[in-house]
Amino acid sequence: MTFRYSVGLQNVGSYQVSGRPFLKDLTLTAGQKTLVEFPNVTNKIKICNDHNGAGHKLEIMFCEPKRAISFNVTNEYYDTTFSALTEFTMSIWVKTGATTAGQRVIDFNPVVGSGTGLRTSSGGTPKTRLLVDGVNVGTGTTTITANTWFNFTITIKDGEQKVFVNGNLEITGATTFASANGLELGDASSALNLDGTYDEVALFSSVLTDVEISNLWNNGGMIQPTHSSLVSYWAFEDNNYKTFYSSPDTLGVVLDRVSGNNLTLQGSTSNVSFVDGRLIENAEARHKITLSGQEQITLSAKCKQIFLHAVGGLEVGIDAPLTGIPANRMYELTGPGIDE
Amino acid sequence: MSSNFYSVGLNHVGAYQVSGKPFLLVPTLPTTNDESVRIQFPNVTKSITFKVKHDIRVHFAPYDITVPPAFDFTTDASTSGNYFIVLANTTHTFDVKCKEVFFSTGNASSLTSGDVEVFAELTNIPAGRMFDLEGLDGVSS
Repeated sequence: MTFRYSVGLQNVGSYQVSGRPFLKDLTLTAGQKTLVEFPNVTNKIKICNDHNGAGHKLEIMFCEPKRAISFNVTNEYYDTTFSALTEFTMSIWVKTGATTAGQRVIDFNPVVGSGTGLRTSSGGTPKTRLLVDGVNVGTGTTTITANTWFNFTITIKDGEQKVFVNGNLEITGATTFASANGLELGDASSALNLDGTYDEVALFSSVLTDVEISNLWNNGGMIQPTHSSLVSYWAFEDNNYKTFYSSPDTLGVVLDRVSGNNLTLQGSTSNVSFVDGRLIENAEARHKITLSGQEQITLSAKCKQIFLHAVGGLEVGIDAPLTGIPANRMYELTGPGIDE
Repeated sequence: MSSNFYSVGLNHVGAYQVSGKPFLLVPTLPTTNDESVRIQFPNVTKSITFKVKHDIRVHFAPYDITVPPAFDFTTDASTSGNYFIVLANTTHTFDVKCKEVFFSTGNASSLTSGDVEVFAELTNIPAGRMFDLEGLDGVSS
């Protein structure tokens, strides 16, 4: 009988005796982004931009390389079906390219009256508007500005509805609701289709409490959809940026990471693309170190991966003495200083 | 059923030995000369590295409290010269424990976005456990 064990992140000795070598030389093309994964947790990382010239810059980040899906104003949309729910919670990250009245962020099926879903308000400055079985439940208070990420969390059940915008309760309602067994992201009508980007969409088969919704909002950090009533989670990942999910999404079918409720692309297929998710955008804007050609830096960081962006074509050298702590003992990095 | 919540303190040796949670920031830049920019950390640092393209001053209190914002400080770093100049196109690491750091410049108009980048090696000690540095010799007067 063999006992297998490994040391954990708090094992002091692992850092004191670290030094298992890890060397990597990468050639990156202009614009290329790549994830460098380490087999063990690092103690420090020395990175050198070997390009012979200052112009070709290398950006170094620690964010999770999560992706998103982008639409434009045509007739493309995704839909799926699921077992009928008489109550549910939906969390969704959206960034609109342009805000116009009546844009469909998400709609639920079956359609009753003029439908159930979250839309931008009609008239005036665009805000959120919730419809439930054809009844206009209410309008939010936050202005939905273009090119800004928003987290919308909707809870719906018979006689009680809520909409949270970035963790804050903005709409409450008490209208009747029967059930939902499908959803659409976007709309078949170009006049109603949301021009923008979707990221991290999660469906729960219960009405989450306000505290649970606050935890899900996570101050804008990475979503952690671990609730026991989680039905579906569409993360929009693929294999170009390898993540902790191993199966690739395609533009035609986006996999549900929890059950089989995959999203299927309908309408035009030429106006949809995978793009950087909000966490990457945040990291590139505010949480990175940039090396010009012939520059190098040593980062005393413990991590299991780094995310690199070659602004220009270049060669990069990595020298990372490793601890004996397996990479799977390292937690996911998110929050201040990473991607917020 | 009861729950006990606790966290490690400032004098926990192991917290420094196993530190290394990364923190990267491209901070907003001062718009006026001698204006201080504050960088706050979620955890106590073990070290802070500045990578800069223009000379900046690094300090642990606002450079000059007569130049807003003063961040509620009543003493400053400039009075007794409690700052360190990180020279243009260099990288400097401060092996310090703190929950916030400040930087300023005497030539704000020369700075452009991305000229200052910060990497911090964090412990798992919550920032709230860090004592107040204001008024300490070498910090502010």
